Amino acid sequence: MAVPQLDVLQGTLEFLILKTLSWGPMHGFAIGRWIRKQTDDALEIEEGALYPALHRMERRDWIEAEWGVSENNRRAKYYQITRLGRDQLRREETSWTRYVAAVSKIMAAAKAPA
Amino acid sequence: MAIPGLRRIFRLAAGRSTARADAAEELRLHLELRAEELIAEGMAPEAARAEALRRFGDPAAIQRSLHKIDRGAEYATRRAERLDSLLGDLRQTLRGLRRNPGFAVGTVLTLGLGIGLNTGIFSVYDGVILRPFPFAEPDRVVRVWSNKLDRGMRFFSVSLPDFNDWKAANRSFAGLAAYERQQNWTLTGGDGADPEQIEGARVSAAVFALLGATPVLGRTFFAQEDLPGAPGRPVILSYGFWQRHFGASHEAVGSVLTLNGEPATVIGVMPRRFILPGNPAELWFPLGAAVDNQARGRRFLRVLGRLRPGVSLDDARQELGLVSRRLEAQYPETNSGWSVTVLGLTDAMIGERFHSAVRVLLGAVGLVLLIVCANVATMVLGRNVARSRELAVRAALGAGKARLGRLLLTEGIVLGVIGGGIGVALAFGMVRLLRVLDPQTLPRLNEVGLNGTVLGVAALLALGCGIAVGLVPLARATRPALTDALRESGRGVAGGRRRQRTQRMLVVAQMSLAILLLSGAGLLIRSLLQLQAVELGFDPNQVLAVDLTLPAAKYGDRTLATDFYERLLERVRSLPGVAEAAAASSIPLTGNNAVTVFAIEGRPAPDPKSVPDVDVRSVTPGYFHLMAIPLLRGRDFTQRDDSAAAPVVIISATTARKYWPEQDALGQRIRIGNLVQGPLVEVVGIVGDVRHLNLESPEHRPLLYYPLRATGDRSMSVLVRTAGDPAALSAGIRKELRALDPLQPVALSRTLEEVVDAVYAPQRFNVVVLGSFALAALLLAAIGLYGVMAYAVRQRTRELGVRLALGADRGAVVRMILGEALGLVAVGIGLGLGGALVLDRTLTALLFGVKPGDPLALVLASVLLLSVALLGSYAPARRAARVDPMETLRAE
Repeated sequence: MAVPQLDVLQGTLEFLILKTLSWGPMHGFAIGRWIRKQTDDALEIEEGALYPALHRMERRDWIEAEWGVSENNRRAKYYQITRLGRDQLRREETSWTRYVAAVSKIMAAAKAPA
Repeated sequence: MAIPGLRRIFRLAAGRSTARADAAEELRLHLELRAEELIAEGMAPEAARAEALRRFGDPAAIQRSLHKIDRGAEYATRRAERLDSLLGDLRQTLRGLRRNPGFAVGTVLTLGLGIGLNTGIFSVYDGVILRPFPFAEPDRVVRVWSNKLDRGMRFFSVSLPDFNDWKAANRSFAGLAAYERQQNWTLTGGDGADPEQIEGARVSAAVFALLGATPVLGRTFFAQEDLPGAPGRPVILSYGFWQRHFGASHEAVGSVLTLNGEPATVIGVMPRRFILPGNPAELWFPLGAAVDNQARGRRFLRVLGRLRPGVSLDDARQELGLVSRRLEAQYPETNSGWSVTVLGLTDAMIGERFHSAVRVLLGAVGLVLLIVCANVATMVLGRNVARSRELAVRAALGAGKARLGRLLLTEGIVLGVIGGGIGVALAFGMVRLLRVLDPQTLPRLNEVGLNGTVLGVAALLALGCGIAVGLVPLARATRPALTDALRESGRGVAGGRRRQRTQRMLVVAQMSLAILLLSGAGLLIRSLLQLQAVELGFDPNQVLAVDLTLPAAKYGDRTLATDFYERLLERVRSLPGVAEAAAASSIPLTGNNAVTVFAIEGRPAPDPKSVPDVDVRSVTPGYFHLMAIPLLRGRDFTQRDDSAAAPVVIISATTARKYWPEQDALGQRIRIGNLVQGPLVEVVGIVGDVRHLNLESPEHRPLLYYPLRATGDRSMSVLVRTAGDPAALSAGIRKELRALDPLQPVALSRTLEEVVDAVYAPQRFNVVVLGSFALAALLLAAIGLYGVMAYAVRQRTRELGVRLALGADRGAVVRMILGEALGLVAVGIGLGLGGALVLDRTLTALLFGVKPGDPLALVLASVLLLSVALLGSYAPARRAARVDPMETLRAE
C-alpha cells in the first residue's frame, strides 16, 4: 500500500464500474477489489463513493441488482450491467479515448506555445 | 464467518422498508469481507475489524445517502406500479363494457341524459344569474325608479326635476345617471340602401363612466355635449351595429350617419358585451336635448346609480326615501304618494319570477339526476349479480376486497366520465336550441354558454355520478360471503331476496322523485291552461300589426302625422284581402303603457293622493270594430273628432265603473292632465275591457282612448284585419308606405296572434322544460321497475315452476307479480305525494289560477305513474306466467 492513490472523479467512477461489470455480475466489495487489483493498488475506491454510485446507477437502469450467495456463503447483492448500461459504457469509452488522446497531445507537445 | 458487533452498527428497524434493510446488509457484507481480507493478510481479528471500520468512514452517513437514493427509486416504482394497475383496471373495465354492449349503452346514455340536462340548465343559471354584469364592480350598480305603491306601480320612470333633486341631495351614490326609453330612429343610407329603423336612446354623459365601461374605439360623451343646446350631434354605436354597418372598420369614428333626416357624427364604439340595463338600444345620444321635458309630472327617465363604497342598498333606499318625502311636501300636485324603489342590478334585470323559475328548474333537474343515478345503480347492481361468480372467482384467486372495490369504482367512474362526455354534447345542443327557440323569455341569453365554470360543474357531476353508481354495488359486492356466490348454481335463491332489497329501494326512490316532477309539471300545465283561458277582450285572429315611428323633424306638427296615418290607412284598405284597417298608439300586451291623471267636472278637487288616474291610448276610428272590442254605450270616434272640434274620449267599462259607480259615465266631462285649467273633454262612448297590460292581474286597469287626431302621436301600430293569412300582407303595406314616404322604414311587423303567443311563452317555456324532465323521470322510473321485476322473475323461475306444477293458475301468477310491482309503486307514490305537498310550494311564484297541492295535479301524476308502472311490469309478469314447469324442474 505504498503506492500513492489517485482520486477518482465522479463520472469516471461510474465509467469504471460499468467497465468492471462488463466482465460479469459482481457484488460491491468485489468491484472495489477488482479495480484495486487491476490498477495495482493505484486506484482505491472509497466505500462512501462506491455504494451511492451503485445505487444511483441502479436507479438509472444502467445496472440491475439481484441477491445471491457470495463466495463465503453469505447473502450478497450482485450487480449486473444492463443493455442501457452497455450503451452508456460505449459512449463513455469513446469520449474517454478522445479525452486521453487530447490530453496526451498537450503533454507530448515538443514546442512552446507561440 | 460473522463478525460480532457489526450488527449493532446497522440498526435494523423492524417493519421498515426492505430497501433500507437491504442497504444495511449490503454494507455489512462489505465490512465483513474487508475484515476477512485483512485477517488473511495476517492481522488479528480484533484489529482487522477496527481497521475495516476505520477505512469505511461513517457507515450511518453512507446508509443515509443510499436510503435517499433508494427511496426516490422506490417512489418512482410505486408510482409506475400504481399507474399500471390503474390502466389495468381501465382496460378490464372497457373490456367488460365491450362484452356487454347493451348494459354499456344503456348506462352511459342514461347518465349522459342526466348530466346533460343538469349542465344545460346550469349553463342558463350561470349565464343569466351567476355571471357578473360586464361593468366595473357590478355589485355596486343599482337601478332606481319612482314608485306609487298605492296604485300598484313599483317600477315607474323618473322625471327630470326629480332626478336632478335626487342627484343634488344624496350622499349614498358616487354617481347617478339617466337615460330615456329606447326609440326608433330612422337611418337613411347615402348609397340608396333601404331606410331602416334602429333603436336608440338618449343618455346622460355620465352613464358610461358610472358603469365603468370604456369604448373599444373613439370616446364617450364629454360633459358639455350633454348640456341643453350643445352644438353638433354626436352618436356612440353598439358593437353589433358597428359590425353590421361598418364591417368593424376603424374608420367608423368620425363618419356621419343620417338619423331621422339629420346628420350625426360617430364618436365611439362600445365593447361587445356592453348593455344599458333594461334598454336594448344600439345607438346612444346625449340626453341634454331633453329640455322639452322639464315638467315634474313627466316621468320618462330610467335611472342608474353607483353606490359609494360602504353604503348598503338599504342606506340608499332610506336616504332617497327621505328626499322623496321632502319633494312630496314641496310639490304635492305632482309628487304626493310617490316614493323610490332601489334594486341591485341582478334583481332589477332578472326579475323575481324568472329567478324562481330558474331555481325551480335547477331543483327539478337535480331530481332527474338523482333518478338517473338510482337507475344506473340498479343496472350496475343487476349486472354485478349476473357476474357474481366472476367476482367471486376473482376474490378466490386472491383479489382483495380493496382490489375488487377499486375495480367496481373504476367501472363507475368510467361510466360517469363517458356519460359526462355525452352530457356535455347534449348540453351544447340544448344551449343551441335555446338560442334558436326562445330569445324573448330569457334575459341575457347571449351570456349563456358552455364556459369553464359550466364545464367544471359537468365534470364534477360526471365524477360524482360515477362514484355514486360505483359505490352502491360496492356496498353490495363486499358484503355477501363470497363462498355463497360460488356455491350458488347461478340461479340460486339464497342471496336473491337480500340483494333485491337495495334494488327495490332504488326503484321506490325513483318513483317518488318522478311523482314530485310529475305533480310540478301538472301544476304548471294547469297554470298555462288557466292563463290561456283568460278573456283577452279582443280578437287577435287574422290581424297584422305594423309599427311605425315618424320622425319629429318631418312630422312634428300633430296634424301632419295624423294626416299621414289616415292616408296610409286609406291606401291599405284598398289592398286585396284587407277587410279593415285602423291604428293605435300601442297594441295590447306589448308592455308599452302611458298613464295620466284626470279630474271629473263638478266634483270637489280630490285629495292629491287619490287623484283618478287612467291608462291612455290614442286610436283611429274603426279600431274597436277591427279588434272586436264591443262598443257598450255611445259611439265610436269619427274623422271629425279632432282637437279643434269639441274634444271627446272613449273609456273602458272598468273606468266607467270605477269612477262613476253611481252615475252614467256617458256624457260626463273631465279635465285630463292639467286638473284645473285643462279643457273639458266629453266621454262619448264606453267600450268593453281589454287585457292591455297583462293577463295575470285580477282586475283590469282603467283605460281611456283619445282620437288620434287629438294627440297627433307619431309612433303608431297600423292594424289590418284580413280574410286570409295576415302575415302575407306585410309586403303590400310596406309598398304603400314607400309610395307615401320612401324614406320611412317599418320598425316591426307581426300578427296579433304572435303578440298574444309571446305572452304565454314564459309559462309555456316552464311547462315544456319541466314537462320534459317529468317525462324523462317517468320513463326512467318505469324502466327501473321493469328491470327489477324482470330480474325477480328470472331469479324465481324455479319457484314459479313449482307453483305452476302444483297447479297454480297462470292468471294468479300474473296477479302475484303485478301485485308485487304495485306494492313498490304504491310506496313510491305515497312518499312522492308527501314530498310533493312540501316541495310544490317552491313553485308558487310560477303558478297562475292554481295552488300548490292542487288535488287534480296530484291525482293525475299518480294515475300517470301507476299506468306507466303497470306497463313496465306487465312484460315480466307475462313471462312469469309462461314459465314451463317441466323444463324448470328438469333443469334441477
